[in-house]
Formats: sequence, structure tokens, C-alpha cells
Amino acid sequence: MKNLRLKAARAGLDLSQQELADLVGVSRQTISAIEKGDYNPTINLCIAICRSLGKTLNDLFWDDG
Amino acid sequence: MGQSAGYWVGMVFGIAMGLVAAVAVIKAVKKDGRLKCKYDERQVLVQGKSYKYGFLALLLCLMLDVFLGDLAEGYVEHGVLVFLCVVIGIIVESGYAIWHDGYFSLNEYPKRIVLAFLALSLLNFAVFIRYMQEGELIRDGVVTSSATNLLCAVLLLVVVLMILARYAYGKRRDKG
Repeated sequence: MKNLRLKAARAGLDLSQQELADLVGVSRQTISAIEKGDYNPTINLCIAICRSLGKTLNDLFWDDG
Repeated sequence: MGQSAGYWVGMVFGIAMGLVAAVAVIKAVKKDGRLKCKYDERQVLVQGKSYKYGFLALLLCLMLDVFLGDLAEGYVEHGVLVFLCVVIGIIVESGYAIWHDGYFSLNEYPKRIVLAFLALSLLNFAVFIRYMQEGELIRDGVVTSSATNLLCAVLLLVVVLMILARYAYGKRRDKG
């Protein structure tokens, strides 16, 4: 399942995939895979992404339904 | 039979020079100049799978060598066949890792690695040509271990081609 919330949060801060990847210390392809839903990140990476984007885990990764 | 002292000095010097060159190349392809590669968590998972498939390919090839290797007896030295199995295993391993973006570490320059691989491929190919000109490739109708240089050249070339193919596919997918 695509993570459109992550994509929107990243775009909201005007960050490219590469810039977010550099901030959290992963490859651009890993950010792309998370956004496409091809890869489920570990909780540590989720937290790192949330901190970089100023969001909570609920905002980006928790499934509401 | 004992070799002369000059032989061993030359051997040690050659190995030392090879190690120095290898360290220089490894540092040159790194963004931070370090020897160690840094991978993220997804890349480590990809590599786990790539090593698994590479190992299975190696195992399959070695089994074929066990059962069918005798057919090549008298044509190819057995060491060359075993080396071919290793080459196939490496191609499968690196192919999977390249295709799933787990090959290059976070602190590497992919372009420099491609150039280094191309240079090493050419070097191996040149050594192979020289062996061929000196008549070392085939001795008494049997392909000797000199062929391993050709296998190394082909391996590096295939890896470079896979990297370029993955790059082109990624570019096309990003546009689409």
C-alpha cells in the first residue's frame, strides 16, 4: 500500500527524496520504496523519518482503519 | 623444488603492491575516503537475499561440475570449471543486488566503481591476450588456468552492463 502521507509530508517541506534520504541516512531508493509501499521500514527508520519531517508516527505510519 | 630468494622477494613485493593498489582504489571510490561500506537497513535485507541466490547458483553449478565435469576432462583444466562456477555465483549475487538497489553503499561513487571495473576488465583481458599470444592458453589441447583472466574480464563486464541496464531502467521508470 502506497504511503501517500509520507510523500505529502516530504513535499510539504519541499524536500526531494534524496534530501530526505540524506537527512535520515538511507539511500534515495529506500525512501522511494517506502513511499511506493514496496518496503516496510523498521521502527527506528520510521522514527528518524518522523523527526526529520516534524511529524508523529501516527501522522505518517499508523493505519487509521 | 625450492625457489630462489629473488622469486620470493618478488612475490612478496608483488602482493604488497597489489594490496596497496587495492586499498587506493577502494578509498578512491568512497565519498568519505574510508574502507568500510555503509548500507541502510533495506540494502542489508537485499544483500541477504542476493547472497542466498548466489550461494544456490554456486551450489547448482558445483553439482553440475561433479556430475558432468568428467565430460570436459582432456579439454579444460578442472580449476577453470570451478572458477566458472564461482563467476556464475557472483553474477547471480551481484545481479540481484544491483537490480534491487542494494549493490552500491551509501558512501560510494557508482561512476567511479563502474570505471574501476572497466579498467580491471580491460587489464584482465590484456593479460588473457598476452597468454594467448605466448601459447599459454591451450597446452596439449587442454585449456589452462590462463583462461581465468578471460572469465574475470567477462565477469566485470557483465556486472558493469547490469549496472548500466539498472540505471537506464530506473531513469525510464522515474520519467514514466
